[in-house]
Amino acid sequence: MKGDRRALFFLMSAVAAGLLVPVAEQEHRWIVTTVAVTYVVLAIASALDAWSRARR
Amino acid sequence: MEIGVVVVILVALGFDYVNGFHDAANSIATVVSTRVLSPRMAVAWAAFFNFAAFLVFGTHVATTIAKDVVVQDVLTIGIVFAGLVGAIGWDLLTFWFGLPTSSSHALVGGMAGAAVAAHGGHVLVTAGLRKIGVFIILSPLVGLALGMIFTIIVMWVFHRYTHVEKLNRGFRRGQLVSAAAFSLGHGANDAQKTMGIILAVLIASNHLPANSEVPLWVVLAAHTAIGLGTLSGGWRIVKTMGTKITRLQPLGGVCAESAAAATLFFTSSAGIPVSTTHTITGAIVGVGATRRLSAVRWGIAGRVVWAWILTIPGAFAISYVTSLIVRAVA
Repeated sequence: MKGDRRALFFLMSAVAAGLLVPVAEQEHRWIVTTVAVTYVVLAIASALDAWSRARR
Repeated sequence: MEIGVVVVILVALGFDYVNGFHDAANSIATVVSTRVLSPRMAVAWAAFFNFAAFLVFGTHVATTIAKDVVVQDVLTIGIVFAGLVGAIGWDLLTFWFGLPTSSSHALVGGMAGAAVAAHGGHVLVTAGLRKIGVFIILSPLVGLALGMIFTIIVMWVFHRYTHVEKLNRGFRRGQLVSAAAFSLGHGANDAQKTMGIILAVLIASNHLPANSEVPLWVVLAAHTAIGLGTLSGGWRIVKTMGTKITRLQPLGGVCAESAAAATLFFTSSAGIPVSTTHTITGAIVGVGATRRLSAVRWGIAGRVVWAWILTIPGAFAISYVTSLIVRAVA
């Protein structure tokens, strides 16, 4: 299930970005948060892609 | 101007040259690997836009490097010299092994190592290093996400288009624009790091008052040095970046370079010194990952990550030793 592996990779990236939020300076927190949220969305999209391919 | 100041400025410009030489691959790897331009034409194209960057971007990154790594009061010509030796030494070492590491982080590690050897850890600017540290991790992630998103958008827009040959020709031409944009971002972010170093030297030697802006001659000299370095090219890294991480088609090249350029434009405007190497590597991985994760050669990508992890400590160590030698000799 390569699609799942990709989703997991994105999820790990989201966690990495999420961990940086408290460390980042106030003015840059929105960037770090946006990156974390983007990776969550990519993880969900990737998992859905893998799921739809598996159904076919 | 004293001879010591002139020597350190020349070494800083030498670092900029090595940076262009080392990072030329970032700007041109995808254009060369997709055979849009010959290697010779590609370096000339990238060098021109490296130089032209001074017309587009300000000098916020230069200020960050000059003031946000080490407390300005303790900077001396000897410390800046030792820092540069560490950064150049590390760059050449990784160049020899064909690893696309970050010249920027080598510079930060080098400056920190030299200052710590002379004065101890308290002279490091924690807030500035935190900002740089956060973006060490973030810049490849941003490049990767944008690379992937751009690829998905382009594929979605053109998925019904049946003239594949025509489409490929269009993207080949598009790569000229995206490579130019990336070279512009590279010139803006990386040349400014050298400007920051020269600014620090000029302030430390009392040639400029504290909180000065970067003089125009420094801006022009830095962009010329990085442009000339790019013109000399670095073929070992072109190979790693252009073919070994993932195979790229013109479409992927356009998306990777556009993603990296967008990241660099934003960070240069915001005064954040990021690694152009990290950004383009992340973007190339992002483009490869739209196919499947196995399209990315993770063994090579892993080697690159290890080189990233080692860059700051490596340059720090070389500069630390150099700083001790400089102090002993002086």
